[in-house]
Amino acid sequence: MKPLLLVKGPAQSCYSGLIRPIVPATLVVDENGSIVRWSSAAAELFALTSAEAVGRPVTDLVRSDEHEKVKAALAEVQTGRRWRGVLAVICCGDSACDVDLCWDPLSGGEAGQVAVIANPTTDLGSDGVADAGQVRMALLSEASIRIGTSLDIRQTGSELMDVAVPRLADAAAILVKERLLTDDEFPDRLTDGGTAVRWIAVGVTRPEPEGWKDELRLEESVVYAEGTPYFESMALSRSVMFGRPPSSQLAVPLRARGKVLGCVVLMRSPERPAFGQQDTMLAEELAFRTAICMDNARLYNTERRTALTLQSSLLPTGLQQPLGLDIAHRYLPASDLTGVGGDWYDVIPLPGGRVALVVGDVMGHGTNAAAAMGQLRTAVRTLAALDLPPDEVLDRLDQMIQEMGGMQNATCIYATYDPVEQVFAVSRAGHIPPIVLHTDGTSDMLELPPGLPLGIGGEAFETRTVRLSGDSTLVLLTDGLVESRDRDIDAGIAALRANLAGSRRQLEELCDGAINALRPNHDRDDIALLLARVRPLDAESIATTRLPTEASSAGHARTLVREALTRWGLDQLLCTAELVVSEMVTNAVQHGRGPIEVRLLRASTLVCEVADSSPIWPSLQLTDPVALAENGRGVQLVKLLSRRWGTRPMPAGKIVWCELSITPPDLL
Amino acid sequence: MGSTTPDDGLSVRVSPLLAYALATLEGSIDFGTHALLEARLTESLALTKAALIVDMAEVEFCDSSGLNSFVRIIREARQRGVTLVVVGMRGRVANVFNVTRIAQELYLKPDLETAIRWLETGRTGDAS
Repeated sequence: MKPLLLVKGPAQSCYSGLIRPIVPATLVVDENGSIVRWSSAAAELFALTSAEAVGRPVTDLVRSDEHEKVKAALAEVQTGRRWRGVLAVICCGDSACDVDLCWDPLSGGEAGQVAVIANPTTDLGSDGVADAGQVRMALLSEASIRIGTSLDIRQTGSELMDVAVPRLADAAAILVKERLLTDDEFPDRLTDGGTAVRWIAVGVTRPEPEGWKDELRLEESVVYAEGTPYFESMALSRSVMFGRPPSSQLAVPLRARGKVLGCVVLMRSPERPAFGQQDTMLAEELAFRTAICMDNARLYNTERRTALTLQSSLLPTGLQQPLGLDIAHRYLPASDLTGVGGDWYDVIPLPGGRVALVVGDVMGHGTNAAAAMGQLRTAVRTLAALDLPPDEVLDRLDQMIQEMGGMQNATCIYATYDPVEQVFAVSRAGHIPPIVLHTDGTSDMLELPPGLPLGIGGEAFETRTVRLSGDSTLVLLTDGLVESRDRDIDAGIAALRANLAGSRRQLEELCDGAINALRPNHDRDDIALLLARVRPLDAESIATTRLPTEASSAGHARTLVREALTRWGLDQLLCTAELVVSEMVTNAVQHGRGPIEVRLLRASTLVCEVADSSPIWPSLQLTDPVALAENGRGVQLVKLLSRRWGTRPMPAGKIVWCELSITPPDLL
Repeated sequence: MGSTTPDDGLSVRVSPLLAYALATLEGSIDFGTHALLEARLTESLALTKAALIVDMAEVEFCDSSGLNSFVRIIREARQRGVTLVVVGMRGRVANVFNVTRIAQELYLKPDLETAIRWLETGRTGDAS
């Protein structure tokens, strides 16, 4: 018997005894079935030289009882479809062996020509034992190249199908446990074959062998009962041969890291020999490789899901539209494998209808950066609630990172916005400065001392204020948008400014335009972008007055409250508002320095603010309400009656403020 | 703003009534008026050895300045052994006294008639 891998002549000495992947043999036949082209691999496989083969009918290559199939194949291909199947090929003189033949219409060639690709199969006939081993090894070698090119369970499954069909089986399919696909987890009862499974890949020769499962439907969840071969294979974690002779079927478990992921089902049509022990071992080996790849995919998915869940739980959802600003924001994850980075942004409501805008960037990537980002974001929110000036917020963050140790440095920009004054107060810590987009389409970089990144220390941050006219826009961003391997940051910023320039566009449009133009490709860092456009308040929703530090000022302030609340239709708040404003003005008259500014703002709440020129804050000391104390009752009433209240320092003096809920009924 | 609207001021009328003193308040009690209130009520305490009745039916507003004044008057009255009775307190003024629990330190009666009956008989109802 001559070897099937016909390594003739000089090649024999080179390859003899070596295992190499099987090179598929290609040949071309015309519409009448005559061989017109013959490759060197075909010469090896069929043991015919090109001169011997060209011109002969292709039927000469197969055993006489297979001639009808060849004609059927030719007819099928002439209709433009592929025909694939295993035929008994006469090789090496008179012995026949099974070869997988794939017939395709030849595109680009003469009309009617057919390309045939021949791959030897594993069941090589009775006298091909030694060579069968070699073919099996070659198939495994090929499997190791072709299976596992991706971290995708389904892709891996279909790769196994391509390798196994038709060389090992005429039809094959893969069952994978449902939970593995949905949650990347194993069902609680590992050996319970009764768990839901799903067919994820199928490979079959044409025409489909008879007896092949009709009920097999891809991507449908099924539960196989005890006693079925699939159940047995998965529950007992061993291969099960079944099928009514002469057809032969084999169920092989997909085992990886001690767990059963599912099973592979293989079937041979009656024309081929039934699965033997050698075939089972080969199938198990293929299944093992496939299962390892699938399990890797599962582990990767779990890891990635964890990181993404962590990050998405840290990024803001459902940001409130602040008073007097239109906001648009984007976050794009990095394009690397995990897609997790340390960029963040936030919009934090502050007292008095004001708002804080934050954009930051923790250095580094991955779960560490995301976790640090989460901590920083929470810290910023906490500091914002104290209503500190921007430089002080950054200063405390800086100290926090230094004290915590082991936490990544970060850059950050923190801005507060007062909708009544239309003033931004901005401070930055090593972050890209904001861009101001004016109404005429031009833009400026906001002049701002750069500051050092958070966690370095040693340099005080500074706050700058800028008053923006209506409809102009403040643009906060992270460097992912403007910096890349092939563009430095200045060029990137210039490109961004050019992109933002021009006639007035909606904020969402500006966001999309900038991101599409600057970072259209997949090779990018994560990006945070926050746009805030000034929407001047309706003058009608503000009421202010300036009062001297005189005893009668409390009464005048109440008159302002009555007039404003009547105008705004907030009569239900009248009693409470009059009282709290009266208390705050009294406090300013008693302890502050004049002049006193009273400001009422109709926002989602009623905001009452009283400013004076003294930096001394009202005493928060609570007197025992039962005792007949003579002082401290004013602050206590404000605290008791308002939704929240507080003080904040101003460049000259302070503001005491409180907010009253507009919806619930008046407390007094 | 300049002019004082009527209810931003406070008037205090003091008159004797039986063995008691009656102070009738009208207007708003705040930082601008509490000194006046405190002075007049202290005077009123000197007019009686039994009880000072403060009629607050016409008081529209009272803030913590007024509450503080009342606290001082309550102390003064206790020192002198004079009963302090407040009548006619209503609406948000009553609420402020309640939330600050100063109401607990006062004898509150709905009206003058009830207050006098209570002072004379120790009872508020009509029952004999």
